[in-house]
Amino acid sequence: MDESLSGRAQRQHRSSAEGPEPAPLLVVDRVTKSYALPPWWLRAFVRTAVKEPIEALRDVSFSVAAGEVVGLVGPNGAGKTTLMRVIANLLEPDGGRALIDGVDVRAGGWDVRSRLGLVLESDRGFYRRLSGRRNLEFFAIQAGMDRATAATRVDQLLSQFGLADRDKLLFGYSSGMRVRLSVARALVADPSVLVLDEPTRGLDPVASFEVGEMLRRLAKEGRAVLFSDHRLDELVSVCDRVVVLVGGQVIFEGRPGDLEEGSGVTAAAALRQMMVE
Amino acid sequence: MTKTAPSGGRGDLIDQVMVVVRRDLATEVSYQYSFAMRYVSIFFSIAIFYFVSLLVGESTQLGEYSGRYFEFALVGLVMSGMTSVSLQTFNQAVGTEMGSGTLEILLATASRYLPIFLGSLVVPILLRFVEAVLYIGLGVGVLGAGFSGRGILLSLPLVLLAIAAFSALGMLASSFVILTKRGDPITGLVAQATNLLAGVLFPISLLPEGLQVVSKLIPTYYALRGVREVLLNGSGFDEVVDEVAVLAGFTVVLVPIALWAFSRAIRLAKQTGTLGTS
Repeated sequence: MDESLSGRAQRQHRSSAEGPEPAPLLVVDRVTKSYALPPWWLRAFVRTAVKEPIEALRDVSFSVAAGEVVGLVGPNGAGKTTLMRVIANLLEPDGGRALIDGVDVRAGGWDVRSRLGLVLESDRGFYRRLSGRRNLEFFAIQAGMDRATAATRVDQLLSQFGLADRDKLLFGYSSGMRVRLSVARALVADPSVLVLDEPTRGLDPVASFEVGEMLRRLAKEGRAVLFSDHRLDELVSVCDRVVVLVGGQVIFEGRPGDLEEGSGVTAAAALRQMMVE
Repeated sequence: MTKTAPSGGRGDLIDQVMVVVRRDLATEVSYQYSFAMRYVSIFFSIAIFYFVSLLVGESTQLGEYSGRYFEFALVGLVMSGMTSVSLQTFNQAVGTEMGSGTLEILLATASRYLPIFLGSLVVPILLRFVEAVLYIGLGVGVLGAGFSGRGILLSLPLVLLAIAAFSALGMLASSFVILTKRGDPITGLVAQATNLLAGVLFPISLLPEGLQVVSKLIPTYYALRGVREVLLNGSGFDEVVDEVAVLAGFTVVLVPIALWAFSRAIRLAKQTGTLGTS
């Protein structure tokens, strides 16, 4: 990246005030994905849960701008995790594309990957026999930093996430500490886009609230933040916009306030109703 | 926010390899009991072959090496350990990374395959080198084995080439692990075939002629022949040039095939949606 995120946030703020909306940092453009049976020659080796093709995403489109937090909600099996994997280029879509800073994630290589911070399952994605610090240093150096820069960056992140004085082996971390460490790992390369799949799963209400605050703070620094969550009350309090995914399709996209207008119920209740129907 | 992250550079390869080495070393040492026991067990292993060698005596089948079975078997044990760890390291590493969820993080965010591949080889092979030193040290110092001192130095290129060839096979095997999640049809087959056919514990002249042809398709056969030539017979480098060339040939052919297969396996896993499963 050749521009600091705080600089990008200021530019975004200026352009919002002065004129047209800035180009979004994350674009999901007509993404379609079906889980099909593996090719015939591979079926003897590969076990999948798929007995017949399953349509997981159909023509899904939305975008996330710098400084914005967008919440992705939907019932189990709606396609949220599938969509996040497509954005992270861990899953190839059958149609459509995901763009980060205007570049297709499938074609972007290193440059695009260095602009994405990813949290999939917050208690996974770490080396459990290493300390939190050693884990972060590992990912920082793999991201292209020299040892001194990595050490500085890791100190900064551990301090930012309240983990600086608790440097023990990872299996000694509480669930809340692991979530914070997951987000710290996602931020190691200072990405412009942050994608988090259910970061509050398994957390108590206080820790869950803190994660929401943290996401808002990260967006204020100029990042585009997309996250999924099942806790609708908290989700609507954190998000600028909500995307509701049901059966692999977007059935609503808008501000939480839009849900309340004229419905006579809270945004969370409106979302719950939408998913039930 | 103060910006300390990289500005697009891919970083230093050595730093990236070394951080993998430090990770593996810290993990290995954290399992203290298993770390210690692997070295204690060497004594029992070597003692078994010492007593078998007393039973065998001076074998006419080993005339090429002055009939010395203990030294013959010792070289076989050390080389078999080296090649099997080279063969298994990649797919074990890939299996572990898949299980812990780190493979997806590494594939999705800024990181490169090469330093992770190279780095993950270092600790297992270093540990095997320590084992090899103990095998040879105990064999020579305690049980009276005789090796050419100069041969130890000359055997290094052969050992390194064998490691490279088997690492490529290991990478090929890890492609299957990406797709099948557990087990692969390559490492088990190659390890067993190597032990039987490559002359690890007995000379291939004992095998039927048809199988002797198959022996010559296995890189370990050439590594063992070359290493025994320099260690047991005190031969010079000129006399093992053919073995070096064959091992280099295996490596040159296998590495690009393995890299292609690994990339293809990742692509297939992305298409079928099985990359994140374990």
